Amino acid sequence: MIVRPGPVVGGVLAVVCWLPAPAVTLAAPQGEEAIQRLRFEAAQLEQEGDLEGALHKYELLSEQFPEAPAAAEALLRLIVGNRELGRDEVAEEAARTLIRTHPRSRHAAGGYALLGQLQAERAVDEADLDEARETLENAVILFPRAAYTDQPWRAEAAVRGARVAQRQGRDAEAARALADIIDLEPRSKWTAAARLELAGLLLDQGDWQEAGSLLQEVVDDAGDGEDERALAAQAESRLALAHRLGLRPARGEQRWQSSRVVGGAPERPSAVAARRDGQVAVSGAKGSTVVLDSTGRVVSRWTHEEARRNSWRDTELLVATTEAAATFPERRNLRFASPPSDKKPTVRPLVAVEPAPFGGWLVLAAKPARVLLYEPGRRLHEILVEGKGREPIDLARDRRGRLLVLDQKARSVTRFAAGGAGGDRLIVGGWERAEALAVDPAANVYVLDRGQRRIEMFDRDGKRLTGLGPSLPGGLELERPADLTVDAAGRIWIADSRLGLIVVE
Amino acid sequence: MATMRRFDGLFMAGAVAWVLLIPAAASAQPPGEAGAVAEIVEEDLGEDIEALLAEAEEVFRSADQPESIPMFERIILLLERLQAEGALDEQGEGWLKLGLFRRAEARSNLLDEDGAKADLAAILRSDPAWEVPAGYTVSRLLSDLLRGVRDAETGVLDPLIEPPDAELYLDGQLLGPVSGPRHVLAGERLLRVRRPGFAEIEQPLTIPPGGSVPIELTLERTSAVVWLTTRPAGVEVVLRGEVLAVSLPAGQGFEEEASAELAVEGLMPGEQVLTLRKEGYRPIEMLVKIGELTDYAIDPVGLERSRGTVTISRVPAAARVLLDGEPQTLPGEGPIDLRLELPPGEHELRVEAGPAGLFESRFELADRQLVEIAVRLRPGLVLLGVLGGDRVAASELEMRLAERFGRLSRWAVVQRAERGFELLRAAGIDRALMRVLAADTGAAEPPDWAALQEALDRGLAGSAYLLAVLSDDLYASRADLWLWSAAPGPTRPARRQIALGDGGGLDALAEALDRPLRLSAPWIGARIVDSAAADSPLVLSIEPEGPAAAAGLRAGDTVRAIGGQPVASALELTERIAGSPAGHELLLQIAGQGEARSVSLTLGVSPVVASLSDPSALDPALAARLASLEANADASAPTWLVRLNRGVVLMRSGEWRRAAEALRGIQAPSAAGVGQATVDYLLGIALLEVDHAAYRDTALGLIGHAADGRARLEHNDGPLLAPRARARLETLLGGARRQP
Repeated sequence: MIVRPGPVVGGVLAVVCWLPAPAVTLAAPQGEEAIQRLRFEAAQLEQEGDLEGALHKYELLSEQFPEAPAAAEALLRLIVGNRELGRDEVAEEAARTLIRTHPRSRHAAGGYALLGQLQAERAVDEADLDEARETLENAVILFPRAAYTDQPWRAEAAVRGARVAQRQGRDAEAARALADIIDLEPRSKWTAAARLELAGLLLDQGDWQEAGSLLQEVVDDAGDGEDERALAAQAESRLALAHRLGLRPARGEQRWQSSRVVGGAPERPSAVAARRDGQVAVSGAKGSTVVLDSTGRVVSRWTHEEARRNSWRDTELLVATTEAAATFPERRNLRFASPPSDKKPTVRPLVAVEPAPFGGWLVLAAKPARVLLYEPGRRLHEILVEGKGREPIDLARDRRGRLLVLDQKARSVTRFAAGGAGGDRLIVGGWERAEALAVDPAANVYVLDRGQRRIEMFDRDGKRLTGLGPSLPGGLELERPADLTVDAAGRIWIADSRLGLIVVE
Repeated sequence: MATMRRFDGLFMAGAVAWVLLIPAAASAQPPGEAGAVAEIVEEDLGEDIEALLAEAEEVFRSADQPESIPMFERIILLLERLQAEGALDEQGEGWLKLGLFRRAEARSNLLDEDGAKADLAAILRSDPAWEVPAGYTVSRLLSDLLRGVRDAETGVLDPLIEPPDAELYLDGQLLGPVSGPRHVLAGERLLRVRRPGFAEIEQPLTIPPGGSVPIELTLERTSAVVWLTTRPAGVEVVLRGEVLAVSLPAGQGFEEEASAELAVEGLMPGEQVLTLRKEGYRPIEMLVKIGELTDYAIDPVGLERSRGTVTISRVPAAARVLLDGEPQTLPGEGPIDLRLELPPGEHELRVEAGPAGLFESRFELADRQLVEIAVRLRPGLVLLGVLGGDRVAASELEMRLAERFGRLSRWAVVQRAERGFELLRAAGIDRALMRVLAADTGAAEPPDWAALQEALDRGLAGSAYLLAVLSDDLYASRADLWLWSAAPGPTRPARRQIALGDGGGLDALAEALDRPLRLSAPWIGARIVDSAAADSPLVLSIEPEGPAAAAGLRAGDTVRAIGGQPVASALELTERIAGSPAGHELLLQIAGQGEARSVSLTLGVSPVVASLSDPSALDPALAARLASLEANADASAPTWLVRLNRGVVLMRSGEWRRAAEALRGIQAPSAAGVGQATVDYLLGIALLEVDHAAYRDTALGLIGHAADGRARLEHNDGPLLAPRARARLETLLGGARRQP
C-alpha cells in the first residue's frame, strides 16, 4: 500500500462513476480498457498541472492492477511525482514496490535510479553511501545494454553513482562509470553530465587539457533544453577555470590578469560566496546581502543580522551570523542545538556554516573549537572535530567532502576526512592575520591574510603556488579584505570592507 | 519460259557499312531446332492415333475383322473433330484418309457397299487424286467401288502452262506447279494461274464427272523478279518506300531461320535500291541492276541483329545480376567486369549483393553503342510493410513510406511486404508482440533477434529492413518504425516513433538514413575551446605532430579569424573547418603573448568513428552503410576503419561478443589519434563485457596500450583515451566488478 497524502475523494468518486450498473462499491473497472483509461486520465491531469490528481490515478492503477505492465509505469510516475511534491518517503516506498513487483520492467531501472538518489541524499555515513551506490549500480548492472538498448535511466543512475563514488574517494571507479556512459550510451543530458563529472575528476588530477576537451564537447553538443543549457554554462565556467589555472601558468603567464571593483555590493562588505552558476552573494557589515548575477547585475537583496560568512547549497544561500544561519530565499533563521553536555542551548558564536552533503549542515564553532554535523532537520548528528584548534576562523570543503579549517591563531590550515578523522596540518603559513579560506573546483586552497592584505594560493597538497596582493593585477590595492571566494571559473571575489566587492580575473 | 540469272558483285556498300553477310554459325544451324516444344505436342497426339490405327489394323487382319469397324470409326470421328476445329495437320489428314480407306475395305468385305462407297467418296472429296497407298492390296470389289466413285466424283484436268513453274489454283486451293493431267473434283470450278513477274490469269471451267478437260495457257511477263532468301524470315523488301515483299518462314515457321524463297516482283529495268529491313536488325541496302525482264537470283541475305554493348564493371563477388529481370551467368567469382551484347532499347540492370547492397540502373542502348556502367552498391533498404488493423492508416503510411524512402539518395529501396510478413510470422513476430516490445515494460520475451536477422538475410537479402507497426488496430495515431540491420550489423532493431498526422518524424528518420557516412574528417591537431577569460576561441592544447603545431600555433593563442572572417566561438570554428577538405590551407588570424599574427594551416585528415561522432546516427542503418562501403572497396575508407566502426556499432548495441569478433585482428596504424590503441582499448572493454573474469588479464593488456600515449577515441581531435584507460585499469586492478 502506498501512502498517499492529500485529498482523494474526488478521484474515488470519479472511479465510482465509471462502474457498470450492478457494481455499487469501489470495485475497479476491469481489464485493459480500465487500465488505459486510468493512464489516459492521469496523463491528462499531469498535462493540466494537477499533479495530485494524476498521482491518485496512478495509485489506483498500481493498486488495482498490480500485475499489469502499466502498473510499473504508474509506480515510476508516483516516485517522480511524489519527489516533486517533496514526499520523499512516499516516493521511496513506491520505488521499493516497483523494484519488488516489476523487477524486469524497464521502469524498474528508474526505480533503482530514484531510490539510489533518495538514499544518497539522506546518507550520513559511509554505509549509507555504499547502499546508495549499490542501488544505483543495479540500474546499470540489471539493465545492461545488451538487453535494454534504449534505457535512459541507466545513464542517469551511472552519473549519480559516479557522484557517490567520488564522495567516497573512489575516483577511478567513478571515472570508469562515466567513461562507459560517454563512450557507449546514446547522447543525452546525462552524457553531458557525465562529461562534466569526468572533467571535474580530470581537473582534480591536474589534467586540465583533457578536461577542457570534454567541457568543450558539453558546450558544443548542448541543445535548447533548460538542463542542457545549465550544464553548458557550468562547462563554460570550468573551461575558464582550466584556462586561468592550467593554461596560463603553463605558458608562464599570470593566472589572474585584471581586477575591478564590482558595483551594487552593500557597504563595507564582510562576507562573499560564489554560486556554481556564477551568482555571487555579498553581505555588508550592516546586515544586508545582495546577490549579483555573473554580469554584476543585482538579482536580489535581503537584510539580516551582521554576516560572518556566506555559503551556497545549490540555490539556497546561507548567511552565518553570530548566533544563527539565515537562509534565502526561504528566510529561515536556523539555530543549531548544542551538544547535550553544553550549558547553552544553541551553538554560539558561530564562525561559519557550510552545507553538508545530502541536505545536512556543517557548523564551525569558535568556543570550544568544533566542527559539528547536523542532519537536515538540524538535529545534531555528530561532533566531527573537537579540541584540535586554537582559534578556527573559517571552514571549507573540498570536492571530496574533506573539511579544511583555517586557524587564525595557529596560522594553519588543517584537513580532516569527511567524517572528521585525521587532522593533518595541510598548510602552515606565516600569515599575519589569516582571515578567510576558500577552495576552488580544482581543489586548490586560498588563504586570505588580512594583516598583510594578501591572498596565498596552495595546491591540494599544500604546496604554495602563488600569492596576490596587496597590489592586484590591474592596479587595485587591497585595503581591508575580510572574505574571499573562488567561483567556478577561477575568478577570485574579495569582500574588502573599505574598497567594496572586488573581482580578480 | 523465264530465265534465271545471277547477280555478280552488285551489292552496294552503303554510306557506312552495308555489307551483306550471312553468319556461318547461323547458316549451320539446323532448321526447326527452336520449335522443339511445339513438335513434342504434335508427336504425343500422333503416337496415340498411330497406336489406335495399328491396333485397329491388327484386328482388321485377324479373324474378327468386323470388330475393326468401330475401332476405325472411333479414329475417324476423333480426326474429323480435329479437322472441323482446323487442328488437323497434313499427317492427321493422311491418317484420316487411311482410316476411311480401311473402314471402306472392311465394309466392302462385309458387303456393305454403300458404306464403303461413302468412305471412298469422303476420301476423294478431300483428295481427288488419292490412290490406294503403297503396300496395300485391295479386293476386286473395293477396287471396282473406288473406280465407280472416282468416275462419279472427279474428272481430269490436263493443263499446259507457260511458264511451267506457274502456280495453279482451283477454287483458291493450290494445286501446285502442274503439268500433265490430274484428277480434280467434278463440277463448276474457278481456275487461277499466277507466277511472280507475270500477269495473273483467272477463268471459270467445268469438269465433267469421269471426263477430261485439256487447257493451255501462256502468262504475260510484266516485271523482272529477284529471288532471294533472307535470314531471318520476316524481312521486308522495300523499294522507294513501298514494301514489295516480306519473306516468310520456311518449314516450321521459325523466324530466326532462313526464310522460304522470296520472289520480289514489280522490278523494271534500270538500277534499283532495295532495302531489306526488320525491326531489331540492321537494315541492308542493295543496288540491283535490272537489264531485261527476267528472273534474277541472289545469294541468301543475312541481316545482323542490332546490338549495343554494355560493360558492367566491378560486379562484386557472389552478386546476382539481373538484366531485364533475367538472371545472368557470371564468368567467375570475385569482382569482375561483365560484358553483354543487348538489343537496342531501354534496359533494366539490377545487381543484388545481399548485405553489401543493391545496384539498380536503367539505361538506353542504341545500335552499336557501348555503354559502361560501374556498379556502385547502395545499401538495400527493404520495406517490410505496415502491421496494424487500421487499414486506412496502414495504406496511407505504406504510401508515405514508399514515397519518402523512395527519395533516399544513398539507399536502394525495395518493397517486400508479402515475403517480409511471411518471415516475420515464421519468427513469431506480430503486431501485438511489437507493441509490447515498444512499450518496453518487460512483459514480453524478446524474440530471437539473431535468428530473425538470419531469416531476413536469407529470404530478402537486404542491407536493412524497415517495419512499421501501428499504435492501434481501430484508429491509429502513431506508428513505431523498426529498423533491422543485415549481418554483420547488430541483430537488435532500432525503433523510432512517428505521429501519423505529421510528416516530420518520417522526414527526420529519412534524413538520418540519408546523412553522409563520413569516416574521415579534417584534422587540425588542436583543441580549441571557448573560455570566458578569452575574447575569442582559445587554443587549449596542441597535438605535437599535428597540422596546428606545424603551422606554429601554440596553446594559449586565440583564433580571431579564419580567412579574414571573424570567428566567434569554438563551435563556429569547428563547423567552418568541417566544410573544408584535407590538404586545404586555412589562413588564421591569431593573437597570443601580446602579438597578433597570421598563420597558414594545412588541414590534415583524420579517421572518424562515426557512431560516436554523430549522436543521431541510427546504428542499424550505420551498420548497413558500413557493409556496403566495405563491399564497394572504397579507398577513402580503409578496411581497418570500417571494421572498427562496425565494432563500435555492435558495442553500442550491447552485442559484446560480436563486437569483440569484429575488433579482433584489426591491423590499424599505430600513430597518435584513432589507431591501433583505440582498437585495443575498445576490444578490451568488449571482452570484459563478454566475460569479466575470463578476459580480465587480456583486457588489462589491451586497455593498457591506451593508458599512455596519445590515442584518441572519436577522431584525431577527439577525446584522449589515456585518462579513461587509466581509470579502467585502476578499477580492474582494484578488484572484481559487481556482477548481476
